[in-house]
Amino acid sequence: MMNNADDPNISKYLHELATRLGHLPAEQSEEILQGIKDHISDALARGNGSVADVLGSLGSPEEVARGVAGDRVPAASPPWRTSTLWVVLSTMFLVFGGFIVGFGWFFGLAGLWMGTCWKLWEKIVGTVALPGGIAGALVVVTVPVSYEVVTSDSGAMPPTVFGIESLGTTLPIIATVATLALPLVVGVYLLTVGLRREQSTMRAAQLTA
Amino acid sequence: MISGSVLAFGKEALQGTVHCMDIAANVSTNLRKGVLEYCVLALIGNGEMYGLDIAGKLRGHGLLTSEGTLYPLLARLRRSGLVDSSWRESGQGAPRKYYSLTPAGQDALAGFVDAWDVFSHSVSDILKPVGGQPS
Repeated sequence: MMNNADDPNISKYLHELATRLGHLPAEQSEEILQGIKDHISDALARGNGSVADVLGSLGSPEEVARGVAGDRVPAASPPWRTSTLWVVLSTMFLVFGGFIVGFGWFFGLAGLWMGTCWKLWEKIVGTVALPGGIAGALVVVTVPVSYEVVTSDSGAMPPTVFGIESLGTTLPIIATVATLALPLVVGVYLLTVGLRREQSTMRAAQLTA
Repeated sequence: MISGSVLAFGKEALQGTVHCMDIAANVSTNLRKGVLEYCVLALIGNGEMYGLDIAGKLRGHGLLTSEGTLYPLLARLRRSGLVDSSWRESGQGAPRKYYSLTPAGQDALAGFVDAWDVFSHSVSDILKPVGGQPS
């Protein structure tokens, strides 16, 4: 069975199907590919014939992909959520939005999760690294980690706080730089993959139009 | 109609038979398109199933020629909230993705069953004289 599952014909089939599903949002095409993959391994495990038989009964990658095109419901999500503007604005808000009265980041977050150009794991990474974007990172590196409180013996004077040390000054410089750079790196990544997928979606739409 | 053409044994009649079969294939392709998703809902409605079993059942009934086209359909049904999927351990080895009907899916299926009942009776009624005609 293991030998069958590694059959080059299977990877060729899956690769061709992936190419033909390239115009779909990543999650949709992955769901279809996963279904096909499981179908093949289940059928082989059950002894439903050779690799060629199983692939033959699936139909060609073209037929499978055409099944998507023939869907009544539009398979693609609204185009504005796949547009260049959407991708750029979402990533900008995500990275720099924290500076806009602390709220802008949430616009970026909404844009990221509603967008169609990112995979689930990319959305999760975009959310957790780092909340608040660069503004959030600045908060983290300036958060006080130690301070001294001096109270007078008699209690006549209010307690005085001094010697505040922030995380940024206690951590090695490299860690501080990394914290500040993290949202920027993630932002650049999301922008790059988002724009690349947006372009391929637009190209596919032009081809089918 | 088909048997009549074959009995005639003429070249033209044989071509007519082929033509008839083309039409029959074309008609069933078009009819399948309209009902396939409801057949999927009906199968899952009898108890959760996984992809390979759904494909096998549909193919067994001649409703699915290319089993792979089931997966874009399942993905669409899941996206539109008619079908739910969950990963479950199977008796043998790897976990499998099982599909089940959501309440919305049950509603959609019930609606189709009603409409289909009326539709199939109407079509059968109208076709009756055609089928009964001696050829």
